[in-house]
Amino acid sequence: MNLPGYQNMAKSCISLILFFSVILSHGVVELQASNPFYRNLYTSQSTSTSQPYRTGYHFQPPKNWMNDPNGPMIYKGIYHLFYQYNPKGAVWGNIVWGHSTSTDLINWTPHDAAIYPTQPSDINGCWSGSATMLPGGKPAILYTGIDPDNKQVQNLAVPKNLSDSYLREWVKSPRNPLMAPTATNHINASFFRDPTTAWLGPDKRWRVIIGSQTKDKGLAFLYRSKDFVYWTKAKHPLHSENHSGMWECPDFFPVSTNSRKGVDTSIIGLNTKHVLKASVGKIPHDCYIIGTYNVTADKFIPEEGSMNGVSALTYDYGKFYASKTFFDIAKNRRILLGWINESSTQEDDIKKGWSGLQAIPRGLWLDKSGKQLVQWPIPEVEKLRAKKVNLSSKLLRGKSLLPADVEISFEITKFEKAEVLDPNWTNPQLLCSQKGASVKGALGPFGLLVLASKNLKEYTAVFFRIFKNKNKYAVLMCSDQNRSSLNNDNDKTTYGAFLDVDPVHETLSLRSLIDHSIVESFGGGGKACITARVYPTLAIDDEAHLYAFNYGTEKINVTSLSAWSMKTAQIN
Amino acid sequence: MASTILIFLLSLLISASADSNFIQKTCKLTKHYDLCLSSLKSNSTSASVDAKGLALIMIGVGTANATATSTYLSSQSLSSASNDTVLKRVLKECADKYSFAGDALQDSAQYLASENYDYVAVDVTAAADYPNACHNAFKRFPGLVYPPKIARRDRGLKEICDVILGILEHIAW
Repeated sequence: MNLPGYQNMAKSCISLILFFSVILSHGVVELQASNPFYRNLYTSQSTSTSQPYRTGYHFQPPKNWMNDPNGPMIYKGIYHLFYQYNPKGAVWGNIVWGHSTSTDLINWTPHDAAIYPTQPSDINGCWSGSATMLPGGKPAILYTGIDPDNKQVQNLAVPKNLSDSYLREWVKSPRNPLMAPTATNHINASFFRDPTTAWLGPDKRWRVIIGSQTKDKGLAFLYRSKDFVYWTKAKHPLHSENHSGMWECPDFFPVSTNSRKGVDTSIIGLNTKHVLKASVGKIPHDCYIIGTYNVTADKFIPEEGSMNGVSALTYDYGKFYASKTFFDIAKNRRILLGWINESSTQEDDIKKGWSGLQAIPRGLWLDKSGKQLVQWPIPEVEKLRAKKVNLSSKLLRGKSLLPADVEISFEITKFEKAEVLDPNWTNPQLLCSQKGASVKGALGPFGLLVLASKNLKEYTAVFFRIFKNKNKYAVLMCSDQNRSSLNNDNDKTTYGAFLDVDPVHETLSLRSLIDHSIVESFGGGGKACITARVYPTLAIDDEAHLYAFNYGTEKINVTSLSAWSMKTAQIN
Repeated sequence: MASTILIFLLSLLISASADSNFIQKTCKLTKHYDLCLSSLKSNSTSASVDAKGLALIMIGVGTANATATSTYLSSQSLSSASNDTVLKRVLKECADKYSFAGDALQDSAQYLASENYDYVAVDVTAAADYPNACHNAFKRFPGLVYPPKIARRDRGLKEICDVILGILEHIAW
């Protein structure tokens, strides 16, 4: 079907033209209407109004504060997710490792906290860390502990009982801390944290990196060990970068150059590149660099991307931080997990009694171009798809259609009228802020309005704009939260990304996972990802609608559109 | 007496060639052998024949280079046509960046003295990155051309930094 262009200027920014019903099986169909007419794709019903923002299928504990995902791993066919958790409140504090297990990364079984302060080396907190599979299939966790002097140190914990497939209890090395700031190594004790999954070199020595900074230069300290207990600091960092600030939650792993399959963290070889990632607090974004790893010199040679500036590559241009990958040996894939924090005020978090979500786990692989990584929600999430919305001329009212999974593809045939991209417009986030969903354009804005109230007083817009850029076309993807909620206390920052897709030769796809107060959007099959948190006051329960829209002057063809309601997952 | 002098001269000759042998071996480990060799030979004294000493010399070469470029760019900025304010601003920004590079290299010398090789690497890497900031400043204005003279200095500083990092690898793993 075809989304018509906007013919007449309307005064109100609410006047958007939306499209109608046509049966999908006919392929591309022209949509005429120049009268304001909207097609409601579906409305929703939800069962609980006292907690309208709790999710249906995104991981979160029953209450209280959660932040970084920790030590994700698979052991004896069971996935483990640990997470930074405050058992006592909805703000950060008293931090321990919460623990849940799953057989499908979507439905979770809770367990008691796995790691909590018991030694001097973690008496003031058990901060983030990672799991490494030692030879013989034995998991080991390295994590940052806060010692009695509030110094950041690195500790080791191993399962108490390997025959417990839920690995509920963990014991700590009496040698902790294994790595610590000292007078001789001059490491700043406030900037030494988040050990990664270790990797084994051909010399049979383990390597691990730990995030740090010195005078605004982010760096990753490199440590080596033969036995996983006695660690020696290498005389050079694995990598560093000027002006990037503290590197939190670093990650270092190989990716295949000729396959979407994951690669074990210790693989170094043909047909692989390495990825170095860090959570850069000063932005804040999770940035990554693609390059090669010289294991003999233990050096990382960057090729694409950086940790700050215009050339930075980012996992997700919205709310997505402290992310971490692991190699899923059961399905030969690399999985990315990330913390999605709240965009509401701390006061609201305390009132609602909880804070923090995990993103839906994403498969991660190197794009064919080799110039960026691609992410896509794991296929297991599709098991939750329930009622599929058909496009028919009837207004649809479904039961529990919120939350949702929507996929839409657009095709553009006429490019002559595209606006020219000003060479100064290098910051996509700023560009999306200035050209929000209600700003008319030529090719765009077109996309989806999600969590929209009936009169469009509230909506979250996820859309594209196409610009002419020299002899090519640039695609801008935006997630506009400006009108997401009547409650102005929320952080309603707009997010944006340039999507590396050629709209002349390819269709433009968009997928959004919508779940009460989170919208995870994937452009171009996962080449650009934007996650947003929204807190609608009207667009909740059976008042949450989903629309497709086109507020540009040029016609857009919709080549496919599928929308499903999502069943509730068991997350606690 | 003559034999003593002869032995003395001989030993001087041997140690001198041992020194230059070591310099050659060290420079072979770096990415720019000729640059390394010429810099170290013309600046070394007989007291400094270990990798740490050579690294220190190279850091000095880099510091001088960065500072000289910064001075050059400052004077270019002042002398450029008074109506070309954009170029003036960019040249001034570049002068600042190369000055920061010099500062980073000076910091790295201190870290080298205290054997904090991690931070030496971080500062030298930072110094090597500042020329990019200058280049980016030119790229921001499509009308401006990145002057070949500055491009040469850009490359020059980066090569010196590469040599320092190469020597560092010789010191420590």
